[in-house]
Amino acid sequence: MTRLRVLAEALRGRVTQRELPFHCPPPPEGYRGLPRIDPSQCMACGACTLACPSHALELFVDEEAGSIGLRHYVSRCIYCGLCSDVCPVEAMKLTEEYDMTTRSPVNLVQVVSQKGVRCRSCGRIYTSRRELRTVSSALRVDGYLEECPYCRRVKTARALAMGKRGW
Amino acid sequence: MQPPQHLARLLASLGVEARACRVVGDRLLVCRVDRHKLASIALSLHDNDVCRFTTCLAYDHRPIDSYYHVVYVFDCNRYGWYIGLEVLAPGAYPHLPSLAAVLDDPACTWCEWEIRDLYGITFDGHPGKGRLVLPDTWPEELPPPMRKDATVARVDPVEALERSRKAVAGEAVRPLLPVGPYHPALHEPELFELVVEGERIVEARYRGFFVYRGIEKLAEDRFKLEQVPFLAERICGICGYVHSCTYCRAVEAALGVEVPERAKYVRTLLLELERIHSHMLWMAVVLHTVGFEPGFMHLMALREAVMDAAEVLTGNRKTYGVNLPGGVRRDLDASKLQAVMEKVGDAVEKAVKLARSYLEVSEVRSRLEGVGVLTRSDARRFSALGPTARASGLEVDVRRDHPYEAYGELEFGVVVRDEGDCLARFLVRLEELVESLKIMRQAAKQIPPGELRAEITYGELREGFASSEAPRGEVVHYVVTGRGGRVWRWKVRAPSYNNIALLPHILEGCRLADAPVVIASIDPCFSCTDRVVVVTDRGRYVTSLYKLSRGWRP
Repeated sequence: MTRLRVLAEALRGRVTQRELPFHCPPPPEGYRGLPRIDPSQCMACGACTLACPSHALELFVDEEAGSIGLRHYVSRCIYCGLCSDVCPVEAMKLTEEYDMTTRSPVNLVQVVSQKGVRCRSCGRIYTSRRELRTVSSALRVDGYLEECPYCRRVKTARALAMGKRGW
Repeated sequence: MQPPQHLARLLASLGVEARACRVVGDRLLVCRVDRHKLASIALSLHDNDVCRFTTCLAYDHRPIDSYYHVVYVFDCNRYGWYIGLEVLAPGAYPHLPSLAAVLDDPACTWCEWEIRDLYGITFDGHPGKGRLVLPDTWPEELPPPMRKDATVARVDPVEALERSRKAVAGEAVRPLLPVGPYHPALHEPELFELVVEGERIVEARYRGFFVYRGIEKLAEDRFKLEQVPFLAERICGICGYVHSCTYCRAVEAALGVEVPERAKYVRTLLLELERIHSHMLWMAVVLHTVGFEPGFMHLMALREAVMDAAEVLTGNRKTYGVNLPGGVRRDLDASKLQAVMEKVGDAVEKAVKLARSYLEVSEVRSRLEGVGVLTRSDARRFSALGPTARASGLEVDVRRDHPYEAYGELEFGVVVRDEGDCLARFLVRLEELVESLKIMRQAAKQIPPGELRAEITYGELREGFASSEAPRGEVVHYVVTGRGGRVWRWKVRAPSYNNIALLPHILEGCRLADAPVVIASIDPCFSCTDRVVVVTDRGRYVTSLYKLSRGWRP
């Protein structure tokens, strides 16, 4: 009798397979899928790289091309969404994409690069033009922001040693 | 929070001074005892009907007071408290008398052994030979890895391993029947060495920790307190949420944060959802190990509805990334919750009905009934946890004994059976599915509106302790916060730790053909026990793989 019941259950024929990747059913609302970076918004401030628990995001500086940018290693990402929580300009958004099948691991890196700003004193790239513009319009400080944090520190230390305040 | 009077009286009768005690978190009373008195106090606690041994842990406090601290934790579930007996080992001469030598509890033997491996503290009289957690080939000259001064960067395991492997290779190997190094059903690394006489197993030995990768050290070295939940939930691929929850509660207890009511209910709902899918998976796997594939297929198909429910509620199939210390990150939509509850209820009711009918199939029943018996006294003596203990007649359930999250406000039963065999373990989990559904329905009805996360200010060197009832038993997390929102010590004890330690005892006397189902019946989670972490593509493993491909031999 029990065997018949088991057999009846087996014959009921529930379809439980999905034909990926030919048929990708849409995920439910609020799904946390692949994060995408909006290059028109991102200012390479690096807030997301500090928040990311799995070190999937990385800030890079390309001195030759004169750019600063963000790299997202998709294969390291855990889709927690902390990056989109901390992003100040809402450039980082989780999408509903979940099929990340690819032939080459190279495709699993997202790169967004911005035009960099060179330090007035040492000539190294220290921030993006967009970030500098955003910060300086909010702070309205002249001169101070055009140098990299390292040069600023050196200058301050030097000024302190010479007995001067500020510059 | 102050411990109850009778607990204080109990400790006073054992000769523990009240001023040597401190409250850690909200339910652990840690008492510093003299190391020579430890054994007698611990024995009378363990033999007492009120308390039983749970785990022991150590942390390296040398940079602060030049001592190693070792804490033996006892669960006094009738009082709703834990007692910790703390002994200090001087940093210059780390020797302690072994409690495992007198307690005769494999769980105690294991955790002392682990401390010996990871901290280099010698337990005089400890029965273990060789290594437990670290590989046998771990070179003597390397520092014990969990010490504060042992940094990851200074150790070159590949080169050192090569040297010491040559030294070990000479030893003779006893002819044993290996089950492993991969589990026959669970696809996880473990190795049981069985000595058989005919079809009977006369002796069983366990060798595990093949995937020990130092997750605790990783957290201490590289993680901030609020990032660790994302690491904690990756300890286990099945019951990950309970780890992140327990970790968060330990941090909240350490910092004295009161979690909003709504967040507590969200966590309770997701914890029970996790228990449901874990128990369904377990039942499917057991049916698979006894060779009843239709059962496996049906239950796994039904489980898919539960996984989809998790995806709808949390945006992730595995309920990952929901917790943060202080609360939760996502709200549960009322209409979504309603729809999900209907689907989950439907799936669970169907699964329970089906599983009951499978047990009436005589072939299935005969493979489970009377197989792998763990008696009540053994379950107590060997500190069995969770459904394994409950199937042997021990009435222990962290949800009821030490209510956490919203469990104190919900009604549910603790399922206990007396037989102690594989069938009893099956039936306990089967009934627990029904209880979990009951809890979820109540929680979904009672969930209050309000905030989701409380503000947190991090403090330095604050201790926290939390325990939860995972699908497999009691999970223990112990957190000491460090400077600048970092982790000073994070100790994880998964339920399978105690249960696997007693597994060789159950295996002895079984038939060889029953070994896979007996091993599967306690629902062992080897990765939890070993505290696995995924190594990133920059790790040394890639280097050694590369070397291997170039003809390098380990």
